[in-house]
Amino acid sequence: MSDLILGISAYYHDSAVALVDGDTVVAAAQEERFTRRRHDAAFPAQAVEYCLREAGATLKDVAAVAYYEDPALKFRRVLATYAGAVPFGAASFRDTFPEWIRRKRRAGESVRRELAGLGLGPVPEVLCRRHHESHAASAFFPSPYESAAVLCIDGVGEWATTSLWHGRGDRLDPVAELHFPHSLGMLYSAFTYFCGFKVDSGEYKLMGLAPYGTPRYADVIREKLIDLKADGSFRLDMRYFEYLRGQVMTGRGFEKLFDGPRRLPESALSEREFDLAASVQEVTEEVVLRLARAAQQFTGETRLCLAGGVALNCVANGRTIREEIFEGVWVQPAAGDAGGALGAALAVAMERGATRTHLGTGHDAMSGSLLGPAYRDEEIQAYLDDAGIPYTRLDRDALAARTAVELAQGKVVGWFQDRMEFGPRALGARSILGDPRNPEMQSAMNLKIKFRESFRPFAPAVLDSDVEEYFQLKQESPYMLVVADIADARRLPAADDAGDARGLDRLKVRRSTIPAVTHVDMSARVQTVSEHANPAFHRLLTAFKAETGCPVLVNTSFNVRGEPIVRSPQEAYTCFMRTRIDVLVLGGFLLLKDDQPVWAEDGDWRDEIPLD
Amino acid sequence: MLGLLLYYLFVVPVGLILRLVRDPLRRRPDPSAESYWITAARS
Repeated sequence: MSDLILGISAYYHDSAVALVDGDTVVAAAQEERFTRRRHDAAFPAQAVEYCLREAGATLKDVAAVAYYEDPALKFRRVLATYAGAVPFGAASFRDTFPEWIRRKRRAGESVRRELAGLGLGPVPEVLCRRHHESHAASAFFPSPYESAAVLCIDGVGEWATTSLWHGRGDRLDPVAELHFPHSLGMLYSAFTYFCGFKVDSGEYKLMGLAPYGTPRYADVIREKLIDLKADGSFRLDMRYFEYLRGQVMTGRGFEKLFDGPRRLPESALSEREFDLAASVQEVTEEVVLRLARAAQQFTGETRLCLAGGVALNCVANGRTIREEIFEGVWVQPAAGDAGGALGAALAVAMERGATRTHLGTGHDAMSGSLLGPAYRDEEIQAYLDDAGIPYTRLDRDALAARTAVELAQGKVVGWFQDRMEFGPRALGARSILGDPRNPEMQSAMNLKIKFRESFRPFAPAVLDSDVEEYFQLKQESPYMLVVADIADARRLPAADDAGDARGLDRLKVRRSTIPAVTHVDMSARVQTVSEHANPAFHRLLTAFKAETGCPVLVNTSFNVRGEPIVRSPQEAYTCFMRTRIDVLVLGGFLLLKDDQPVWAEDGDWRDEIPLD
Repeated sequence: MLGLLLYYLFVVPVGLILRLVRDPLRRRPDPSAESYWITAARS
């Protein structure tokens, strides 16, 4: 009998599919990369087709389908929410209840029906796992740890918003949980909304904004919004939140506490938003640290695995590591709901007797999270030739050396190699790269290439062997989910004179020898790159170090603001031509902007991409 | 329209009665509680 299990997350945000064979992840991808709709919540038909194609399988070869949450239990929670909120939830009930009746309360059946409609063979049984079990399984089973405490923190699935688990060998046991509406993810999203950013996608912006402010509202949050116990458990005071009643997160309660109405999206940022961001970030870190300590005390383990949307808060992850509560921390790279597809599949696979065969290798089972579609050089060349696109073909070493020279000359490079990343971060397979030593690079990449807000920081990718030379980080961070401070040796004395600069003016101060990836608080969201996980990217970083002495590159996702990361060579070329990227590397082919034919489109392409 | 009718005819009365017994969402913090953890059961 087949060991293939197809995991699916769908219908809320970030629909995704993962295909596992025993404990081996064969393929995983988010639907947004195929449909080009960011955070696409639709049934992930194209991702299903891709994952099966990658395995050379049809649904006939799949033993079971695992859906990432329990729709019946979730429906009961939704009913309880409506009942608990009366008489204020009429509009929300009217807008959302029909969808619950039509599809969501029987999501397992919807999945079966959609799969049948693909015509890829008979649909095997569809099993539903709980939302937090899916997160926990995605955090523990692929981790490199034989045993670990597992902590999942997110907005909400069914009832659980925070859960603690104990992973041992092939077992994963639930320990304790906190229930809706008391949710750290919802608290953070409420501030995201109040500061004028989109819920479920703007949380990163709030985190990036926090170092510009001072946490002057943190005490108000502690006194009024959250009752945090010593053991990390907490409740929110729902009198200040609106998300039980309807479609907004906050209302007058927040306005009274935090000096007026919410910031309107895309309006100017003020000192208040900086300080709100700093405040909720400080409280979030406090809660996460207490939860981590509770996880250690409940389980007695020395290692921690993290998943759930809040595990994408890499500043909090960095604090957890720095506090040395655990000897090692591993974060699932697709920590949000996309990763639930993988977790659900692994939970079912392990229940059916799979074993964690990667244990003992010293590596996790995520293959660097490079689990999506790849394009062979023959396919790329056929595309380039058909489209009449000029290029130079180079062998891998020459390509790395030439690209390193271009980067050292200040060029911005679109880097497209091998399999696409699974999860929200670009990790060197679909990345835009730059020289971190260049003080103009951060602003140039934000405004001229990504077309996004100037305050947003960029992340460094660093050779794993050199990480401690540049960052205060004592463990690997292969998935760019840990923030660490710049090493003392790389800091510049001028940074100490920055005390008078406030708000976005702090951006102008050069703080380190790698200013393009040094945030205003002297921190950086680090990605360590190993030869094992990503040989092509490792080769490039090695070549850049040979060229410049610097083993670090700016690494940002290959897309523009509001657009999903590119998947195919065609999408990469389009992004290259629409922006001021200077050089595009597609597999073994190097393309220079100056050599390209004139790019023309009808209308302004930016009108077609919604702002994030 | 049907949705609103359903809401006011069924959800509101049920919700009000439920809340006479106890708040199903436990919306307020309990300062006297030592912990809010709920022991988890295997699904």
